Amino acid sequence: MTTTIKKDQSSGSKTWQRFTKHRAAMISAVVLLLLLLVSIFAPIVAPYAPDKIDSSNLYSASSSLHWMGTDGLGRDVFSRVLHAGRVSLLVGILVAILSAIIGVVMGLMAGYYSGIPWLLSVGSGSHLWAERKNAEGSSFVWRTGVRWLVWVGIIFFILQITSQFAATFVGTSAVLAWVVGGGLAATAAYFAFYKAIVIDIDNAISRLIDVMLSLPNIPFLLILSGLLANPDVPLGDFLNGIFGQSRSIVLIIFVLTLFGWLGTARVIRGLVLSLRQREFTDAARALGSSDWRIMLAHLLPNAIAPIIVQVTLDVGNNIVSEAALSFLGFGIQEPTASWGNMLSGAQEAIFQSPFTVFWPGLFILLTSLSINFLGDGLRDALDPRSRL
Amino acid sequence: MFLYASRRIVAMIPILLAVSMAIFGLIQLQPGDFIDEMRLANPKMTSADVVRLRREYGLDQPWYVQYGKWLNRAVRLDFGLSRENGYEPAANFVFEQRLGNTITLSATAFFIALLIGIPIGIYAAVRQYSLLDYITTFLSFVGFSVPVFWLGIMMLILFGVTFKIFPIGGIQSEDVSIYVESPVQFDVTGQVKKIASRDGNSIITIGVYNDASKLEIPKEFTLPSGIRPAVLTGDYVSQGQSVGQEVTAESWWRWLLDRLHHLVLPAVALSIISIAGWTRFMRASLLEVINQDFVRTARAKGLTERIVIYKHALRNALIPIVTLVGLSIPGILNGAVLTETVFNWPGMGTALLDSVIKKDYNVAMVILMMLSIVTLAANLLTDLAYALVDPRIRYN
Repeated sequence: MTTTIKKDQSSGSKTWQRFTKHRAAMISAVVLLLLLLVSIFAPIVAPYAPDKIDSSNLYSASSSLHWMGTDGLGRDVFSRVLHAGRVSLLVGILVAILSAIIGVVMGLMAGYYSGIPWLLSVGSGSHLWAERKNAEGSSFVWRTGVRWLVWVGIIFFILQITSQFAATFVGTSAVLAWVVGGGLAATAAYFAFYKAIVIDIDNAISRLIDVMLSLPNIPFLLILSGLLANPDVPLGDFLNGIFGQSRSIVLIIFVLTLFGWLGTARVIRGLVLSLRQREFTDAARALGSSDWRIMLAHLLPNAIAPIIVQVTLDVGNNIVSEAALSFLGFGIQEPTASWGNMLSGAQEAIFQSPFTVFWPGLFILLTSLSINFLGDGLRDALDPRSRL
Repeated sequence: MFLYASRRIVAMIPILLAVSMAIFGLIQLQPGDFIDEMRLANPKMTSADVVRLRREYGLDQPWYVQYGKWLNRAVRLDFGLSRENGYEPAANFVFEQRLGNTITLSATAFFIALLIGIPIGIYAAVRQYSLLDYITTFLSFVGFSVPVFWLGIMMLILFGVTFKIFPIGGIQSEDVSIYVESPVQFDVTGQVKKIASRDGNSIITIGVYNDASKLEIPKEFTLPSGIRPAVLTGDYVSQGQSVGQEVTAESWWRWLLDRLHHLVLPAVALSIISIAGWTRFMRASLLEVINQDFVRTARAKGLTERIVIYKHALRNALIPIVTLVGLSIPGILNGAVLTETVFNWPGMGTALLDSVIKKDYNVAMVILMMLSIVTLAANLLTDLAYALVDPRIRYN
């Protein structure tokens, strides 16, 4: 009688095995790799320059010369699709990475400091005064000074706004403005310099995530991307100076990141809430590790699997969001091609040449579908318990 | 429960204030304002005019001062005028002309999605690992991934341009109206002097010129109820002209069918993503319940599979779905902005887009504020509904 003894496998090779069993994910990985390669090497692969206009050849059907036909300006759709892929994939991946960084920081803070109030200001009338004095020791004086200085600024700002308000009104309205503004300033001063102001960072971040997640983001993204195009806004000016023509790419990355970190932050927060109760966290704290060291060196590595899955899925969502904004005319601007803005002139094109609109969308679908399958496969492989 | 609900409603006020301030600030910082547009339209405007107008409209003040003024008017439900829509109050424009259209589209898409997605999800869960399960899984992945605007354009090309089964966008045909000319006719010729309304009937007074006395003699026509006048004061009417327009059963039907005909493509396009979502959620939720002890108990005591699934498992599996139904309501507008743009549907999505493009920000402000309120209310209602369906949840 023979028994086959299975060799001990490392967890990495087990993960790899689980991943290869997910056939759709494997195929998707190959498709994505191909898409990435043709996009990266677009200048070599593409038969034409993406912005080469051929006015004698508008809306031509696909032929051996133009595989996917030409668009309304006679530009080769195939070449444009390849070059657009660089922009769309770049935006998708960069936004996913940036959102992951922000999401991780926010999630770690929310989870780790959940239930531990953050002191924003403390005054001598508060029961926290002696406690903090004790805890902070010699640094207490300058810490309190800094906290108070910030609040002096805030109160000054409130009063400034009030005076501006009052200046635009006359009579009772002006008095009312001073009463409201002055009352607000006085309340702030009372709590900042005499009592204490504490917030629960977890509560603040969680509420922010809740509100931002439940608001439909496209209307807000529209307004945001319009805002950053404003040369009067310092950031818009700054972007203009550095990036010039391609600043719309930077802009869309920034705008999508603003709404992109929410999912990751929420996942991390949930994980950290349970991880911080575990013994290894206590051990690290007992050894004198700082809060940030515990978060980054001990908690984060334990949360890496869901982060990877989330980032992967985010790439797909970002590509679709970018396409949607560009389609509406608020994203990547011509002449830079992206899969979204190739569709933006679509309503005029549908009569002349339907296929001009077909191809960019197909690439979006293909990319996003592959990424979703890949994410599904990664989830199976990395985190088998969380199977939906 | 009541206390909890009222506490939540009170807590909404600071959130709404913060959201409205953020939106207002973002909008105020947008490049250019409507004075720029006026200047483009009217080359005779001088720089002094521009400065004066800015001051008069309060546009030279910092955004938070303008916000305070806006808030001051908004709490009295005055949201300003919409410049691009004939200076109609922005709130009236949104609520009377656009909201209904968006609700029609979104609600139709929502019910299509539920009616298709939930049964497929149930079926896929009951027959887990069957061929159909694999197919629906694949299709729902496609549904998740497909960009809704591209899908819409493809549907337009296929059904609107190539096969010509459905109209190419819009909400109704130009030549189809709910009103038809009334068979009742004027029997005189003359000028309309006055149009009045009494007890729901319109009364048209016509000055009839009398050849013999060389005088205009007023003659009153009382229109039968349900007929609205099609003439304006000052118009000349002639003998044999219809007195007005009315809605008949036939015209109403034709109008309804025309509307439905226009509704099909956008509603289907908008529902595709949600169908995929509902299928996945329903499947996951039911699978989780099916593996629980009480379902095994139900099977063990000899109940038929039908009763086990539909009476014991499904009821419990629907609980999380209730949450998702509530939470998905505000998100529908996301799809609606894109779908309405593709199908040229005069709803809130297109109104928002137009108002941002044309710097007619009062409209955008109304829409975004309404969205925020709806979102918060939907969240609250979801929580309350959750407590209703799941007795283990108590709020106090």
